[in-house]
Amino acid sequence: MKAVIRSIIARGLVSTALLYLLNLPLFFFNPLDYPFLFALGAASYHVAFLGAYSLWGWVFLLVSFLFAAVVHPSVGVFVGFVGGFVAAAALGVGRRRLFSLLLYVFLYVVLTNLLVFVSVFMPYAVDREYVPDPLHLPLYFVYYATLHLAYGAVVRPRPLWAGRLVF
Amino acid sequence: MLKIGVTVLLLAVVLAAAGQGADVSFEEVCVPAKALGLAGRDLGSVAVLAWHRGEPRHLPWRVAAVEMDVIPLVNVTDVDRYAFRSHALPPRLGDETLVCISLPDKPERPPARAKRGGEVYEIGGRYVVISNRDPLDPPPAPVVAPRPSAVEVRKVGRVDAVEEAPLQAQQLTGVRTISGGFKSKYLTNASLAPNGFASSLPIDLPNGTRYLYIYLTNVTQPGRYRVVAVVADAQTADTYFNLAVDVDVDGRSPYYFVMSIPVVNWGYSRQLKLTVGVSNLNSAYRSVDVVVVGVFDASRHMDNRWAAGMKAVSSYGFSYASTVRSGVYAAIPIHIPPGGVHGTEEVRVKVGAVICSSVVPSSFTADVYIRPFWIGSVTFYYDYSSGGCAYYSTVDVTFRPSLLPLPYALLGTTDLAIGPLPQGTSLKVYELYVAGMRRPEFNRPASQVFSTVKWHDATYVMDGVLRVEAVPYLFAYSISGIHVRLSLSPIVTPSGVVPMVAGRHIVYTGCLGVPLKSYAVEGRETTLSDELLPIVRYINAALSALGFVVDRYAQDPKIKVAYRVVTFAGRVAESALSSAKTTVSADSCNVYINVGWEERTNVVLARLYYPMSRAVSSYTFYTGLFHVEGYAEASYLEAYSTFSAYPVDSYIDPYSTWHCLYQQQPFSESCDPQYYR
Repeated sequence: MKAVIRSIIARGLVSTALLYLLNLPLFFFNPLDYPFLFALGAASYHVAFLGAYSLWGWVFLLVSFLFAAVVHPSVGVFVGFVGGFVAAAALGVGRRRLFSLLLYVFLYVVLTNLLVFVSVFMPYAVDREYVPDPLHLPLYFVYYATLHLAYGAVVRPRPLWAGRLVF
Repeated sequence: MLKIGVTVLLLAVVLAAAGQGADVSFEEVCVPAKALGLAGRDLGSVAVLAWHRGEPRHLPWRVAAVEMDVIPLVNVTDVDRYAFRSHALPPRLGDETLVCISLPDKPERPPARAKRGGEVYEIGGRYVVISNRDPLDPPPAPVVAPRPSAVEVRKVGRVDAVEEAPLQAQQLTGVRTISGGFKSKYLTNASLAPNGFASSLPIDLPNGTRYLYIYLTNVTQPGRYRVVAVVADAQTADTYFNLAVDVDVDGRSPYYFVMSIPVVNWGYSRQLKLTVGVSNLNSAYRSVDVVVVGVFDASRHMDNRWAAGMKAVSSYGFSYASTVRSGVYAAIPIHIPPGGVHGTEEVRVKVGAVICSSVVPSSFTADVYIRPFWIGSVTFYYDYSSGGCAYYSTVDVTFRPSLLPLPYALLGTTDLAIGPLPQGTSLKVYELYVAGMRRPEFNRPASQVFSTVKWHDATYVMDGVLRVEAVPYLFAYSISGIHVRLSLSPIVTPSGVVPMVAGRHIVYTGCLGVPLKSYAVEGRETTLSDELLPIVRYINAALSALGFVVDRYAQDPKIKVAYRVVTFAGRVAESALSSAKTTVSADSCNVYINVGWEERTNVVLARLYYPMSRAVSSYTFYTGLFHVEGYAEASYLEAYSTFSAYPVDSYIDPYSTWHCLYQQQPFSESCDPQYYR
């Protein structure tokens, strides 16, 4: 049991760290001046979770970024937001693909709504709505840890770095 | 009836004058400055005259322009790509600097003594007087790449200046001169057939007109033109001035001086009308564009402060990217409004510089231009070194340029340039602006004209150029409201448009309450962002049921201030798409222009109307604070206008009251100087 808890905490921390790492360019460069970065921002919330299990998560990030850079920043943003839900199907195998997608959407709806409510009472360190605030780290950790917990229990995807993510 | 008769008569006189031969036909010669004894002279101290019909007249004269590489003063790393080549008048005339004078074909020999003195030169057999410049004399124009003429130049004597009795207007206490430009719609970019002719309608001149200067602008296509000006008395139809001048436009100058009309010599206390006509002497269609610049008396009150440039609020200053090329001039666009009160203009320069190099100068000097005019020089002194960079500072300088007032109408939008700068110089600007006092119109304050002219005119420069103009809404002897027009434009150079910083631009407009507003973005196009935004909003709404509750909850004003929600993919996507387009919002003290990331090169026009909460007869409107979110420094450059609601006498003939601007109608109550000065 302890090992499972340790594993969930570790995966939650990895996803949260990935989220902030992927958003680092948006901290340094104003996305209003470099709009293709918006796609990175939108996709990062999905990739921080999906990327721990599937290469498709990273392919999705790359595709949305390419769309933003080559086609139009808005297309990249759209793909980065909506495409993440589709990419979640890659975590399931066989019939579980659709289940994985629906579970991801369900958890996104429930968790984000709950966290939105909690966040109203939280302080802010960065006055920019495009990036995850450093003071909101606990919220993201809760979000990702819950995702990992639910997926570990129901979908059982194989981590990309098996054994390393599971202490 | 008399006026209609005078109008018809004046138009007939102008048409007749244009049809006959020119009174003066100019031919330009270019000679080195030293041949005219002008080597080393400041351009602001020289006037070129010739005698015609017994009077000294200003001659069109041009000076070989100096070339300069100009970069916009913007904080972008690739500023070099916006560099462009331009021209200005040189600070001083060098020995070999070519001076091009348009010589009249029939100049008279100047008398030995006259009201304007100077050295008399004979150039190619024609007499020219090089005189000291009066502050109200027209300035020279720059000319690109002139060629020297093979003419003989010799000094043949001098004219001694004689003291004259002071003019009537100068005896009036508190009278100051203002200059303003006006255009006739019939002579604005008018297309003329070969030998075609166009004329303005007769223009009323206020009593208090000193000089009128007629210019062709550079919108005029190259060619030869005959310009006719007639000034006649509206009451007696006597003609005081009638001159037809043949002049060449070669496309190598920003403006072309044609003639001056010294109304001050005979015009006081007369009701005068000016009519200007132009005929096309070329064998093809040509466009012509005429500006009349007038110098008028104006009383001291109703002075409003205009300003253009930037002034840092704190000691941090505005930092700019370093110059890549050596010897470039850094420039900010400025707009100089007409109606400036002469002698009140100032150019303020307070800058620092950083050069990061192993070899740095101990000091360097840079010139300051309101192009094309040289204003002065500033010296950068070595201050200290830190981190391998040398820091320089200047003594704070305020210049009062003598050349500035007159070409108001011609300048319009120009730039304030500083240079040449050594390679690798990063400028730090604390203050860089031009400002002065202005009266928006030379007419009497009770004139209805004041309900349409721009009382307030200010230009603020940051990543773009913000222009603020204001007109009061006058109703029933009181100010019912204030119309404000804001335009935020990117900096445009011949090498391209410098995109503005996307995000909030905050403009303080005085705490007059929440305005009625409308805005437009020039060149706006429907893009993928517009199509995807409603889809993303719909998905977000479907996924954020509770988010809606929170949103609604957060509409409570107490919570709204602190309300921001944790960021997730949907929120990032929605805010990214909704920030693609520029929006304008306003609260009771500020206007927020949120420049969209898709519209960084589009001009934003916002019209605001501030209804006054109670009727007042006078209100002072201030602007100055301009801030761009993300910039470390805000700008506060004060400009103000005191709107006054004078009773408007619509039943009085406007021409008559215009005329009585300066008394002379003793029995008319409507000419009470309390109201009409």
